[in-house]
Amino acid sequence: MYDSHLRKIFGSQTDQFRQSKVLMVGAGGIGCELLKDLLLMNYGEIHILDLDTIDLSNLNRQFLFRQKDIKKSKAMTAQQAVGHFNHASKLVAHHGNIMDTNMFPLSFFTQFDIIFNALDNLEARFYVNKIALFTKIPLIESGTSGLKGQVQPIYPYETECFACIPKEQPKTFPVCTIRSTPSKPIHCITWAKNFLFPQLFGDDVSDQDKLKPQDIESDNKAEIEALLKESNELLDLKVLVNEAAPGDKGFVSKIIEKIFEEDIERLLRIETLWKTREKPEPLNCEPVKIKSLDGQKLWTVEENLALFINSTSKIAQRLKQGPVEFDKDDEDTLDFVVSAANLRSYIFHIPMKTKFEIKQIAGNIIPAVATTNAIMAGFSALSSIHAFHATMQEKVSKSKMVYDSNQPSRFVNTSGLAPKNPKCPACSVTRGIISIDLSKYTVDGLRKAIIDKYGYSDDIGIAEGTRLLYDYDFDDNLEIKLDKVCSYGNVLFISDADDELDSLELLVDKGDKLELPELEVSAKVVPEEKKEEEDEEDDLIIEGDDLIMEGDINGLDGPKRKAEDDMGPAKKRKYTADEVEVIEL
Amino acid sequence: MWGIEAQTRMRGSRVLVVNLTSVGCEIVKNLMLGGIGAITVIDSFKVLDQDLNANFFIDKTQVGQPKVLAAEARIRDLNPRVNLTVSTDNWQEKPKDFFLSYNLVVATGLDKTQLTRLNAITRKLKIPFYATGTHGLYGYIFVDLIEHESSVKYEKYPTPKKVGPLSPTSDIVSISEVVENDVELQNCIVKTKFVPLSDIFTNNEKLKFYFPTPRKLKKISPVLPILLALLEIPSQIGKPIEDVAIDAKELSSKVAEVVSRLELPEEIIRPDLVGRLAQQAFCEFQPGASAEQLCGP
Ligand SMILES: [Zn+2]
Repeated sequence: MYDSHLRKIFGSQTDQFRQSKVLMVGAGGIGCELLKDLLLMNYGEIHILDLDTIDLSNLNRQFLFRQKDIKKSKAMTAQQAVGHFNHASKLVAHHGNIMDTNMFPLSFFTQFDIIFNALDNLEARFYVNKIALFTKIPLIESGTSGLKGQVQPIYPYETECFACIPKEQPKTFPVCTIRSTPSKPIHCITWAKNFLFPQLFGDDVSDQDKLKPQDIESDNKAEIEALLKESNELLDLKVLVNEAAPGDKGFVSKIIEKIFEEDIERLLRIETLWKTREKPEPLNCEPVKIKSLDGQKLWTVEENLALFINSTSKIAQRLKQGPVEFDKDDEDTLDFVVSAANLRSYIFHIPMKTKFEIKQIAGNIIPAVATTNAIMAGFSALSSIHAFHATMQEKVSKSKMVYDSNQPSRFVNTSGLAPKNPKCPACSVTRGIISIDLSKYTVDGLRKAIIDKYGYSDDIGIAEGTRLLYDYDFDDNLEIKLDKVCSYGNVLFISDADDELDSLELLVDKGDKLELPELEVSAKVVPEEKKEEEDEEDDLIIEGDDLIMEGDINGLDGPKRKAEDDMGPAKKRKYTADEVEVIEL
Repeated sequence: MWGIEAQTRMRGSRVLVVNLTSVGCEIVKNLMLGGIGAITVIDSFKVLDQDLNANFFIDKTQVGQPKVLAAEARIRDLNPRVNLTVSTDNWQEKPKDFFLSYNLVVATGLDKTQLTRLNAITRKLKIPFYATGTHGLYGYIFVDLIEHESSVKYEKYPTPKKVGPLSPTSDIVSISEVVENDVELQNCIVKTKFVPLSDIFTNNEKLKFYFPTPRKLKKISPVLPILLALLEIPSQIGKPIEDVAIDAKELSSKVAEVVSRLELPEEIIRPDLVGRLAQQAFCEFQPGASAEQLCGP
């Protein structure tokens, strides 16, 4: 039998896999691996969902995709690519955005027994997390970033959800560090990529994009003035770029004069900046002839200058055909950022970097690693086994969170699932699904039904997102039919006008009449005041010579890693090693 | 990720993979994707029905064919730049010279006799050796890099490390100091001398080092003696799994032997776990294998 191994391991549970329908969100690095694992577990029906198409850069780690598949839908291609080893599963591919409520209304999600997240961005992850909370479907969350990775099974309201531990969004540097006082290569790379490039080659800069005094986090008036002046003069350079004639490189020397000489001299005049810092030196050198440069070697300042001239004039010419955006795989734009960043580093006595290194930093990339994806996907699939225990208590107690280990003698760590965080913005809210025909009911009809059902003493407020539909002071909509003010898939936020009962979130689902979910709405707990967020200047962890972006790249920005370092809530977790253990013998 | 030097080294590497089990498939897939220079897969078994749920390189029309030949085209397709060769020979009949050209040998699903034998060859030829296997949801990895230098960071306080012995098999050869996130660290170059795999069945010196007290000994996974005991049973891979019957009682007594030989505490023997592993012995389970294949060049 093709499933003899499975039957011997799982006995009758094998049939439970066969009878289950699962959703896999994301068919990228982890997704390809996970799909393979889920298929070989013989899940009855597997839906594959991804909005992306296949890119050349995916091929070296997304093993279901080939050169011939480039530009095709990931979901559809993955479905076809596994045909030869699919022996028991029905596969359904969806090419679309998980957050598209027309394509994927609530009824789409409720058909599944388990949802697997194999996503690469936080927004979609939070969204699926919320859907899991509304539907109470177990969610197995996974993510990798370079050699790091983790898997988190989520049993909604029973265990920690994806939002329970705050996730880091990529942070930015203070403008003045980037613009006036860089001290690390990343500052110069950020300057070249995020400031200089758009200034010279971006779409026409509008007033809104202009630097305003309040954008600059500095108390130094002279510095603010210098930055503003510099910024406005750059707009003049943009005109030069736009008007550059084919083959003309003369305009580049004006750019060089301004950004690598005049601007530096202007900064030098602000003496207070340099009391504790080494003074920059305006660029003073001539370009050399270059042919091809080795991207893995450090180039001289003269070579960088020559490359700056070449790439700037190339991009200026390309602009005549249409907009040019920075792309780490676009050689001209990468050359520009590399040379500009290095020239600036040189001026500020910061070590220059190779093109190879800058490409990784500028592309905000921690390269994805096939092996990490495969391992985490394996753990993700394994975690789903526990969703089949009879009781919730068993499901929760048998499940483990898995993450990479930074100890040399251990490959992965596991820990029991933490309970939900009472202050979690996602799972501390009372939620339910309202089944309703929006064309039949008015805002007032809904209001009365909610007050009756949940025992709000007087009145309520109803909002959809940030849009108020009704409250005590705003009753214009009362007689309006609901389909004029909201739609299926929206989340309605219900608040108690008297502040006695908790707020509610109701997901609007299509129905024939008006059915409100059975919910316990408890008395409101006054939340503690939020603590001020700590100021953190840098968004980097420096490990040796490698720059590692802490702001999450592949979506996984290990709350675990953070927790270990900062003694966050996860520190309190019990680390057990009964499932995965490495013993050096 | 690993830097150019490592990437170049990887492209120049030649790896021998012994047995295309479910873990074997994972390893081959990842080596192919990683762009290793050359891979040889040697496996003398034929495709059985049961392999269809364990091996994603084959399809159901290939049942009965030699496994590596059936899988060859799909493996190659993963990365045509990798120099792939397959062999249906029995590795045990290969002369020592056959192994000479490899920089790394990875074997899956071997028993103690086979492990000892292959490891003797890799030791003699100074080839790093990884051995791994799964029994259903359980698995193991043995590593013999012979002698290996690595850089490891330790927090400097409370007890700073010194140049000299670190464990019975490793020495710190040099130390440099670094500060990361305001923590003082010592970056130590550690030279590790690996012992032959055959040692692990008899020698408990290292166990004693890592688990020096009775309390610490209790932290050893109860799976360990069972996995070691299973290695004493001749490898059953390639056989119809229905015909593989490991008697739990017999396994129990083997486990007891291992426990007494390694002087482990009696309480480590968990009859329920022995029963479970007897049932799952030699079973291949793909997600388990994915999670297992932690080896790299
Ligand atoms: Zn939560």
